[in-house]
Amino acid sequence: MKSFTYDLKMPVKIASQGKEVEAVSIEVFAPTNQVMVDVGVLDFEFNKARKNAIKESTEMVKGFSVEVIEKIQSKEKDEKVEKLNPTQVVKEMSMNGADLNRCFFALKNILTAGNKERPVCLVDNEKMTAPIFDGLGYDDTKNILGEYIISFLDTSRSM
Amino acid sequence: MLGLVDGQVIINNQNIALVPNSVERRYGRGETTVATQSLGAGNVDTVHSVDNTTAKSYFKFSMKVTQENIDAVDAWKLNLGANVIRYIGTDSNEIYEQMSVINDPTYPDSNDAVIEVEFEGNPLIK
Repeated sequence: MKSFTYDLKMPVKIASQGKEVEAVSIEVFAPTNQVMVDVGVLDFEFNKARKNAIKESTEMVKGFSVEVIEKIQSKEKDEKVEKLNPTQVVKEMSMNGADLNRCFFALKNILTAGNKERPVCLVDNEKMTAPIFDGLGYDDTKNILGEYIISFLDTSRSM
Repeated sequence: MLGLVDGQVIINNQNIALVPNSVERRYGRGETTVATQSLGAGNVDTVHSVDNTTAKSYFKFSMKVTQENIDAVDAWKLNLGANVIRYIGTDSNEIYEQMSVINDPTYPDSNDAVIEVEFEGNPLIK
């Protein structure tokens, strides 16, 4: 099953094997229909932001000559060869009208779904739960959201 | 000053719904024995010692009888010495490690009944 591992910048305390320990990484598995409603929210918000970004850039280049537009497009193509990083994805979404609050709630529902036998997200081999999610750093949460979109939703890798 | 009521209880990373005002806890500092020794001429000195055989924490609460709660209690019961309880109260954050359910909980079939759960384990980390 496809998954990604993310190293936490701010370790989170979790209960494991009878002791409270500091977890330093999480593993997130590819979505299944178990979380389709919340994945749909992320997909919708991401595509809404992408649509807004395209609309904005189309309006910006109105009145430019064909040569100038071609130059901009080839420059953009070169830039997009570089892989988008998770922070950039969330920043672009935020700048282009995505509802990040909705996205964070959806992410929480996704990561805390499943059970011990079939979890969606593991925190140092323990199932992600609401109290653990609440203990994550804001930066980490943004990065996990971005990484989730890059890994599982954004097939074109472009805004 | 705020009274200590309605703390949040998290067991094994899961938030637990309890019967209000049902939490009772003991830090596990051990019972202290105070003995006296005579110095003569009517003078007495005291000797203080902690009985380490009683130095174990205790955590008790009640839950309503639902199948979800019964399953949770049974999982804790079987998870011998490997439960972690975090209690977040007014200005407090207590961690009880290596806890076991010491009673054998009963699950009454009644709408106003509760399940009583008692844990014991390592002394409190604060």
